[in-house]
Amino acid sequence: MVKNENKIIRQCQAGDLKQFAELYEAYIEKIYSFVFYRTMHREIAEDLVSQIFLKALERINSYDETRGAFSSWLYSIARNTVIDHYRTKRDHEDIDSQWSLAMDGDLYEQSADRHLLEKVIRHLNLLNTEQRDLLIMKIWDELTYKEIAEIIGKTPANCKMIFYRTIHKLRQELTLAIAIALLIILSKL
Amino acid sequence: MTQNIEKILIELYDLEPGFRDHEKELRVILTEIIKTQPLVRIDQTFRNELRAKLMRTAGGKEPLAAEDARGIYRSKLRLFRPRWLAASLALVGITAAVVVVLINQTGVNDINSSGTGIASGKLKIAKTGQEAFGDFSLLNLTSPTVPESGRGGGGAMALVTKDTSQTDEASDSSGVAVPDIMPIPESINYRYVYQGAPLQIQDAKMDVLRRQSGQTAGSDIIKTLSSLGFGLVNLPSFKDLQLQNFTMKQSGDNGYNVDVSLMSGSIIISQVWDQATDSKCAGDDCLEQRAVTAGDIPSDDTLIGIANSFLQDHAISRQAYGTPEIMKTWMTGNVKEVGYLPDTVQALYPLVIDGRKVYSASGEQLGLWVSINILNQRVTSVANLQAQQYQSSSYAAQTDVNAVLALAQKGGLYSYESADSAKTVDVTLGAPALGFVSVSTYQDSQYQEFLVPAYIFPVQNAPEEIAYKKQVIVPLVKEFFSLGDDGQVIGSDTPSSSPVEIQPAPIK
Repeated sequence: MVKNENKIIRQCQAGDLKQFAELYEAYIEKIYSFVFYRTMHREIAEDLVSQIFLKALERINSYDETRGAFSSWLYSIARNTVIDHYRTKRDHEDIDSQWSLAMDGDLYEQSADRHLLEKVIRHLNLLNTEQRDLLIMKIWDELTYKEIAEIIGKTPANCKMIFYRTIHKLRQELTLAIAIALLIILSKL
Repeated sequence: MTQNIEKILIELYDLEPGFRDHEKELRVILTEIIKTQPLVRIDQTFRNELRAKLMRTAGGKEPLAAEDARGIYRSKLRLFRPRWLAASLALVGITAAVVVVLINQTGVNDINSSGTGIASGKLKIAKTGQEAFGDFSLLNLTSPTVPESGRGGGGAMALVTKDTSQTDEASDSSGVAVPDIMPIPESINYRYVYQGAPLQIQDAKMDVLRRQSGQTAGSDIIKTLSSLGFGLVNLPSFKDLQLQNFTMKQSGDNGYNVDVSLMSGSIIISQVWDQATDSKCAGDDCLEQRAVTAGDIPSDDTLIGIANSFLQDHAISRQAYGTPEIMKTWMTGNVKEVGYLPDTVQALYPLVIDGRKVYSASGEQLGLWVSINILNQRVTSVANLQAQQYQSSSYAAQTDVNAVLALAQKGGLYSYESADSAKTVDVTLGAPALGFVSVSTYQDSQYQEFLVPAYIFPVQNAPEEIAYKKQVIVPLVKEFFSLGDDGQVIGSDTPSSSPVEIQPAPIK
């Protein structure tokens, strides 16, 4: 949180939009990272981040500090912008399909054991969008449960439970994956 | 990274103590997810251009229209494929790596190189030369390779409290949904104030222990395996082939898996999930429907009796462990908040070496964990069953009591505090006991665990937010005092060329 953040926001809301530069400097790297983790593409990330900050500047008057943290408000805009981006892509009708794993991409090409990777992918596909989104927010974005709750519109307790179930599921799936990996190894013996 | 993992683990254990049984897996999963975090480098030209555009817009020289931004950088876009796939595949990469690591690290006792003998759990300590494990002050905590302060909006590492939420849903005028948002939580730092008797540290040298890693099974056992009739390859033709781990599964109802890690010298016994007669509960709906009430929980004596019987039935030695205790961290904190009672409880048999208990850096007692299902009163897992073989090497002790107390006041090893916090709460520490703190290095997919002599300060009046922190741990080896509060080396002119990460040991 930038020092005197609420004061800066109030100045922006009063018409002194030049103060927005302070907010931009405080959040540009965080928001850029947030978007990049979800696009993995520099130029798309730049495109979306530009939209996000322009939206924030445009709608700064709608932010109400009594309703929550500015960071959560900004992340909410970022998240919705990313979702909108994928919804408008021609090959994908909804965000879930974006998460469908396929046997292409650099990681797959670089994989030392495609057969194993294919098996693992099947298990990761069992995670739903919400679980994957929360996993990234918690571990890569290092957001707190309260921040995540504010962004996705759930309670912190709900977010904790979703994260717990995600890890629980991942652990179970990994146990299966290990068994499969062992079978693969044994099959090679 | 370490702090983030520890925080996540503590939160998970608070919600489900049974996760402690799988700490090794969880630690690997979390480590690999963090390690696979994409490198983010923001282009400075872009950053400056966008700032300039925002300022022009703010100054009224350009229209306030976010949609205009779509055209700004779109021309630079190459034809791209959906990158959620890439993000997902990054997670797949993580998982593949996790699988590989797990295959190499799961489970052991100790089969010797001929594959014919298994070491006992008896404590053995072999003396080595002075400072034989290297210079602890040169071990370096690594940080994620992303730009400074570019890793999300979390930031403050101090605890947050006082949820004064409001729940009205809002939306702005332009269609961007603004979900329920709550006020930013208050951030609090804690100062640990020592109120015990004056301390004296008289020993100039203290022994650090290094856990002996397990051994792999060598050529003899490979020859044995090759005779089993796979018929696909001549295994002994691979020079120096070693067996590192194996898993055995008990068939039938309520069977167990036994994961043996020859590399780390440990064994994990766990009930096979889908063979448990009364535990077909794998989906989210079932988890929600399964309700354990406080009245279902047997007495501590009953639970310990169940655990003792299991250990006795399977000839698991308790020689290296102290009096067991049923852990009840799940009775407090977040579990209350989400109204969830776990269906298993854990008995901890504390590891005791030379009369001293062993702790993680965050103050958790280490030892053998036995999980018991509350409903069917069966043991569901035994975790952290390790061969107790160590090397010992003496190191210069920290004899400056003030330095010890100063570190204790900050919360001990790997403590952290928020620079943004405006509030500090005093917590009282009592007279310390001598114990060990377990720290580990991780490099080249290999863990090395060290037990370092330490003062264990009991926390006497912890507020509910940090009720899980029962002890503050201060190592007594001088080299640890060359580490900064966050574990980073300070005052080292020649940092290690190949940084080694020190991580608190698994909380078992």
